[in-house]
Amino acid sequence: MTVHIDTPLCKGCALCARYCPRDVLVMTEVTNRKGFNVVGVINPENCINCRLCEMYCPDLAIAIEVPAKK
Amino acid sequence: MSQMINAQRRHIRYGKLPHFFCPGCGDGQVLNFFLRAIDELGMNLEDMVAIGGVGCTARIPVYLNTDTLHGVHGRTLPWAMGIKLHKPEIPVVIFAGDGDAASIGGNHLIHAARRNLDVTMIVVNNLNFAMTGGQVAPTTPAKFVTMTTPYGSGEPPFDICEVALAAGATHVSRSTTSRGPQTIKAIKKGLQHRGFSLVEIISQCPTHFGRYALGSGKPEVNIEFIDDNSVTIAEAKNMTKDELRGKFVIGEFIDEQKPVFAGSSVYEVEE
Repeated sequence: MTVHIDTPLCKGCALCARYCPRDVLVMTEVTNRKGFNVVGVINPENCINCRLCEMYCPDLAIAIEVPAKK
Repeated sequence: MSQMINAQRRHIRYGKLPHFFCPGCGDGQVLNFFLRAIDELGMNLEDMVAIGGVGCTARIPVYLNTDTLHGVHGRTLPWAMGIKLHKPEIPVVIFAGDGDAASIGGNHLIHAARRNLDVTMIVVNNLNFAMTGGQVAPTTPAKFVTMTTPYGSGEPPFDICEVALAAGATHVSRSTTSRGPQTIKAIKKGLQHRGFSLVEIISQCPTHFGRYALGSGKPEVNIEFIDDNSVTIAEAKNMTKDELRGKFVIGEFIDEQKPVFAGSSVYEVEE
């Protein structure tokens, strides 16, 4: 699973980090062009593709990519 | 390889993102939920009309790839009635805040519900007038501090769903932004229903309601406040009136069929 975050759109509300059940998403100190602290991905291998972050993101900034099955 | 983007973004008007909502605003979540509901129903946004009045929530149609009307405060339903009388086959969705629906446009809400106009009204209730700076609204719970009530609001709040029910709406439900799948389902049922359907979504406003009333501008504090104070219809049945004061009752209140308003020549009054 790959978690794509469109950082120019992220406003750092931390709702995705709140809903993530496996602590894949955490807030970082990195700021984007608008000055918001953006969310970052740690341990992407823990992602279970529940897509709660995608559903609850107010800024449509998150996309989950599922690798194609062999 | 280019970066993969959120699938819902294909419904957004070109170049409109990032939207103007504050960080953690419930309106962005409602936009996301609505686009998911549209996707699941297989509806085409280009055939629809989305209407917003004035307010934070009323900005949602501006981002949608629909035909859009935006900008007359509280008068979303008269617009919708004009469209519905001219072309009844066009699906009309109204995005209204609590100001648009309950205070400035309250009278239109009552009469559209009474006539059973065939529109879907999504009311995002963030418990204050957020766009103008967090003033007290008719939906603000009693005793909560806002910008204009520094010693706490002295008025009992207004229940939008109860008003719509009393006026004769045929589909009324309430959900919260923290219940994503339930809200998507409620919006889907509202869109599929023939007749006046009102979907109220209790939403967080971290910038104003959170800061003044709850003492924290963090979205999660707001969401926890709404979650702690929401009860389902089944739970509410076993509670007394005093216990239900200040609670949000979540669920579907009514879903029935009645003759739909389509101009005086077609409209039949039910016996």
